[in-house]
Amino acid sequence: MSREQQLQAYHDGELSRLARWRFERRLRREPALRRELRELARVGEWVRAGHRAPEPPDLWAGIAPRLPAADARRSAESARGRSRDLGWLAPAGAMAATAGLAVAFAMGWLSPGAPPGPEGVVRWLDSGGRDVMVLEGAPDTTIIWVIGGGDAHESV
Amino acid sequence: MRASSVVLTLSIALLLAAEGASAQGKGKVEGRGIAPAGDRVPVNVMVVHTSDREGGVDPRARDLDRKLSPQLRYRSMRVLREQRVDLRLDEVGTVKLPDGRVVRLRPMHKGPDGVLIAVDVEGSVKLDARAPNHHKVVIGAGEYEDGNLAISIEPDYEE
Repeated sequence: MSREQQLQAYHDGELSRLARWRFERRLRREPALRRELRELARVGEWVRAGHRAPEPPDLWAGIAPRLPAADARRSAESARGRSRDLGWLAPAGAMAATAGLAVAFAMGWLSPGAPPGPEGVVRWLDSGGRDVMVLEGAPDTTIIWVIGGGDAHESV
Repeated sequence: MRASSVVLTLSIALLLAAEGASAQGKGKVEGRGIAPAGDRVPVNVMVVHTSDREGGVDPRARDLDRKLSPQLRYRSMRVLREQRVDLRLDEVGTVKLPDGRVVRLRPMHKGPDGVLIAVDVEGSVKLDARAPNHHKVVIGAGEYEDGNLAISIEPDYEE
């Protein structure tokens, strides 16, 4: 069994007694393994919490009228050095991104269904405060793009 | 002395037999792939590098390129990693990115409208997506070399 499989099996309580004992001995010796186990346990936890929470109020209705202002602010910020990020967008994508960016500015994260609507593919998202766009233009593809605003290589 | 050796040998044999029976009862230590097909969520993961430099599109990424090129601007796309991650519901799969970070995937629920999957791109974004079968969820994972990394995640299961 690979290291990942062992971690997963231990996490799921599927190791035999002897294997569990051996694995726990390794856990005590290897801080990196303990860290991996903690990360494993955390994946999806925020999702469960988000889905148990009651539906949030419809924030999109309040945000939509402010879009032009957000767009203007976006242009100003682009001029201050973010043009490289947005330059990556094809014109069609740039249009579609505006709504996603506006929501990201206002909330820092996307609530379930916003802005693509409750039928959208992305139900919950946390970009750690970075700007993010969600493009759901194509029928069978969803693009999620985090735009600068921090060190993309730092650990969470 | 000989009797105690025999007793010790028998004890070890019994212990190992008990462990084996316990593992078999759970059916998962060696058989993590035994779960019924309905509970399995195979996911195709492709990590690509896109750049403004000329270089064309990797033939393996043609389908992805068709989906991305109307929305994103780049001149070349090359596949860095292609992996089929066969997961059970609630199992976490890991894919390593070329810059050392990891992507973790956890299918949470499978229904008629697709798979609810939690994705954690280390250092970038955490998200929860309800992706229909064969729907591509493409996540920008930040700058890499002279371009960007993108991860395509596509549930691909028998319906």
